[in-house]
Amino acid sequence: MTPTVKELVQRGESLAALGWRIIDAHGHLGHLGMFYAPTPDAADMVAMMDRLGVQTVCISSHLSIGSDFIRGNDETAQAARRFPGRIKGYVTINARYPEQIEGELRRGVDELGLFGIKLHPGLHDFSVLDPACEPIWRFAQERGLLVLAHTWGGDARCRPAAFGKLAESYPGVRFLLGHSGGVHAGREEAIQVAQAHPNIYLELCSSWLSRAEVEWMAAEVGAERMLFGTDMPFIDPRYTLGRVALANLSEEELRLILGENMARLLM
Amino acid sequence: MITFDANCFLGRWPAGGPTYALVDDLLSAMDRLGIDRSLVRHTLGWQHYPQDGNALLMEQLNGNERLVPCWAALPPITGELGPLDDWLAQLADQNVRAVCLYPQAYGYPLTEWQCGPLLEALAQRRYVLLLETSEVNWEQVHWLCGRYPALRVVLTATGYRVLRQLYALLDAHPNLYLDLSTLANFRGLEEIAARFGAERLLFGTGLPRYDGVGPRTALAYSPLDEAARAAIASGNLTRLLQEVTP
Repeated sequence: MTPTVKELVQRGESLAALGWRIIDAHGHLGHLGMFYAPTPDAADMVAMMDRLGVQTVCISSHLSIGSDFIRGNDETAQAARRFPGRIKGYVTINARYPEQIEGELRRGVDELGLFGIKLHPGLHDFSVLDPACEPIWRFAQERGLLVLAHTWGGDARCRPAAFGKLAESYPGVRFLLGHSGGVHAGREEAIQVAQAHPNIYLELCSSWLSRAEVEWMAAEVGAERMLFGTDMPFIDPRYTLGRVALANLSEEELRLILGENMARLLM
Repeated sequence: MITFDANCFLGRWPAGGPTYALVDDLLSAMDRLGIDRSLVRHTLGWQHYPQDGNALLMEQLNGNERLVPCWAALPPITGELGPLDDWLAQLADQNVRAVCLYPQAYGYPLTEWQCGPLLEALAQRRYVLLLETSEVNWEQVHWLCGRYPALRVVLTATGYRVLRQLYALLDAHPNLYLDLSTLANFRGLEEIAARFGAERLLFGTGLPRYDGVGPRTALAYSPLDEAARAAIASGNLTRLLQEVTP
């Protein structure tokens, strides 16, 4: 008899036994300055994924969301080439460099083979509502790409509510709200905007997430629009995995959240 | 594997949020997470007044064998604890082997001139001293651990963004311990155990402010050997409490 996902997580056993597609929608890579992260390279991440039974992680390197998005995109692509199928890369765009947006989008997708777009308006200090971002949305719409954006309640640059108008204007873009607003007030907003727009998805990684919040979001928005993500190696993936897998949700809901939804988005 | 939670609270918070107002609420949460025993503090001991918090804690725990009390303290100079020797006798009489301080909340400096007599008395008896990371600064932790090497200082809710500071403190002070509640660094559990020894880590949930699932899952999936995982899960805290000489 196949064990349940809860049984496996409680025993610390690989989720591979389930035969599910387990995909981490929100990862990073490499060292970062703001704090010490032990062993943040791709091989360590894949070793952790093997232990947990995670097949694929979708990443943007820490360098790309920090000082140099172009060199950082090279790092992301290099890791994806090194671990094909295990690591997929987002092309990170820093809207503070408007003259480089369109070229880097094309380079990232067409030359580097990156599959989606990553934005970090907090670290790069731009608003997603800034007209400078328009080329990003147009490109994503034309190519049918995912956009994973860092979101945080109370941050006008990237609060979840800011994505409502964008989702309406660009119905072909699938917006993944990174951290689902991060804090409780942000999660309330993320739920509201997801309820109003079918092309908005809630990505779950956050050091503040609780199991109860996972259950709340599933009740309000539905498991079919929630995505497991971990922030690895910014934080340890085991923390988010437990909060999702041990939430009081059905096996089918957990199967969707832990990877099936993201697998469909990647098709 | 037996689990002993080094970090949880009973009682309401002034600003609301997840709360275990009743012992049964805490016990249910422990059962759901598979936690056998917990070292329990009371929110009143942090957010209102230590003596009231300690009294209510003992009343609510009512001798439950799964729940181990940790008392809040103040500097003894004002007499709010009563005479220090009497307060220490109460600790011994009620078999309380862990104490916590909240210098930030109660507005006093964690210094020799303010806290010396209390800390000296606790150190002589090898008490376990819990400190919330938000209540102290790094210099205070460095001074405290160095000045009172017989104290067993447990830093709780460290977060995951402070390993540079924590490594320096762990390296300098063998009497410093960390709880896992928010120590969510990627492979941080394993690296700290490798560099400083698994005996420096204590399983802790931070219940109910944090839901405890993260540290529970991190330990379940840890590649550390069985002895190290058992020490972190319960053995280290059990030993520290046994070594107190009230």
